[in-house]
Amino acid sequence: VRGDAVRLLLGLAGLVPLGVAVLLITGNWRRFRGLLRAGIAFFAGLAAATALLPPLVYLRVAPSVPVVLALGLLGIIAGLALERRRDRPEAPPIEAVRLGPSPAAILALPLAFLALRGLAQPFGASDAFTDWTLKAKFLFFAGGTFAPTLEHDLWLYALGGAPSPPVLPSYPIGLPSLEAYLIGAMGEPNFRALHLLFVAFLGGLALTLWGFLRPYVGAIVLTAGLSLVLWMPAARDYALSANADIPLACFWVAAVIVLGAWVSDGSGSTLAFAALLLAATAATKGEGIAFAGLLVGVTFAGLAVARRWHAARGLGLAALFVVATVIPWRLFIGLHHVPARGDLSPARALDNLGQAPRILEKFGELAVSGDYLWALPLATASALLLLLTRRDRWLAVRYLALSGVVILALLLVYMSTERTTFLLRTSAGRLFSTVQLLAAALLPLLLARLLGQAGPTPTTAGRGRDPGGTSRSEAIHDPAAEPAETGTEASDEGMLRTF
Amino acid sequence: VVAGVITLVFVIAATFAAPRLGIRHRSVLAAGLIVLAFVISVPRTVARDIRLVDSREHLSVQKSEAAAPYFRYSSRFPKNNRPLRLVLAALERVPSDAVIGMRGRLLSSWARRAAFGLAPRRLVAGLDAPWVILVGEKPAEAVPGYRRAWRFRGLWLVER
Repeated sequence: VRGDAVRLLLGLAGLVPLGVAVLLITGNWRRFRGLLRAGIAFFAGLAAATALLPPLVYLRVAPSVPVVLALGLLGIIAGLALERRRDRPEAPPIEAVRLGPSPAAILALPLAFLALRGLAQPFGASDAFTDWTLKAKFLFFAGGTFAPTLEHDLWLYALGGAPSPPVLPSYPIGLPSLEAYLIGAMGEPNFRALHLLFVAFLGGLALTLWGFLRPYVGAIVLTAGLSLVLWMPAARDYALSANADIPLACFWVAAVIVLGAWVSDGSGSTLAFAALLLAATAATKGEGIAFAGLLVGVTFAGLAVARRWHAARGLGLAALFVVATVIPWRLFIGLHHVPARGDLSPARALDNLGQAPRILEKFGELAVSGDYLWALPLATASALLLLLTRRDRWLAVRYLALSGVVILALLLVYMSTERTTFLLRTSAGRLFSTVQLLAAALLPLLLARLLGQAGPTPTTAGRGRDPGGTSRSEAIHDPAAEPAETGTEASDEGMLRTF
Repeated sequence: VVAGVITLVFVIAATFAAPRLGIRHRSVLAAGLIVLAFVISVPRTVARDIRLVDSREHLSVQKSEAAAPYFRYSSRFPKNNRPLRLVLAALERVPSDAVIGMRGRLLSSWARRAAFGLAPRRLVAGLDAPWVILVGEKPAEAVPGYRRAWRFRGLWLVER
């Protein structure tokens, strides 16, 4: 395993050039420094590979090491050219963020234990070996082409005369493509070593959260908050189950935080990075498309309430980009007549209204489960207290709305199937981990706002304090503190510099 | 649960106490509340990780891969599992580009576990394949004129 683990780590490192390209192209390169920049470049590389490799597979380009390195190299050349062409390199709205050695060591500890366990633990979760990793295995052995895999009898096998449809041929192939690339880097499938990919997802999420939350939350609080994310037993177990739920949750939660940072700083660089994370979310799993849509919807509603129409237009463009990344997969499965998942029917949700209390009861159990370290109740209580004390209503409302619509969407999913009991038993915990990870990720920010612990003041020149004397960092997320927008570029920039 | 309830109570208390504290103390308070939520579970999590590392046998890559789906019900290598023994035998004997037919009273979960271990060998339903897995049938009846067969207590791997 050790040799394969080293080769897999080299394969993961091969994603860094792609991430560097993303940071250069989106204008986020100067935003971070040192180890943190490398870590966020890695996570950006994961996201870019998840979104980019599947369309290449449809064009019969194998997700291999040379392809990923070539993509990274081409991207870096394009990014450097863009950096030079930018008349005024976009100044980071905040001081470049670093990660000190002490927080890095504290955050590395839970990941090290998880990695050791992953290297010893065989693949065991049903959906991993019937769908995600099986697809990756076929993708690797078929030389990187996917059509033969879809035409494989396996997906529709009717052994013993009884059709068995639970494998999900119509789910996006972002994760299988990424796994096929890493199997190629190892030279042969070694799924124990492949567990390191899922550890890396959690590590990449933690670094990205640090990069985008640190300007608003103190180092001690953020270290504690991210430790909560990384020590969460359920997240650790689901990560090593090798299902797509934790990758989905990592991309989506990172997208929530980065999009939230964009609402505050208004930088096009931040929005571009958020758009990539949303595209990666949509490429990871069927639910990812819905989760990405809900996030865009809630953010758009917030911007509409604040009458920030110019920003809403930018968000619309980002949403179009995400939709454009989904189209190739939909075209591909349409052309190959891939059957859609047949056990979900929105019409059935109305007939299954009676199931709602049972589903909500299960969600309630999961909400207060110790396996999630009480992240959801703590974050929800903090948000409600923020509302009551009027310390940051915008942040509280956005968090509550986002969690609420995702839980509602999950409720609809379970009401839309005729296998409610089975799916509640087998998948509710891992699907719910997205909501819990969001709560854990936002908890440091919510508590910092609630207790009035101000983060470092953004360095952007601006109009400083609001008439009430609130500091700039305290005013973040409060649309009431924003000047009215007239829809012009200049006024928009002025508004954003207020922070 | 106790840690969660205590943390929740502390969050409410801290909300009202915070305005009386300095900025540094507020940071420590916020961090302390978060740490309180997970610190009790950390020793248990670490102990579990170490226990899982220790309990696994060191298997070859191929064996570990084929056996992975069967570990779900056992923390040790399930060497007496008949379907797994059949899969391991097929890995040794069946070429990687071959098609394997399956027939008999099969659970779909059984077939899915076998499919993962045997990939990239293709599994198809029926007997129209150069290799066949039979469940509850004898090769002489189901595949007349077969070349070789291996028995695993009610399961057969047959080469035409």
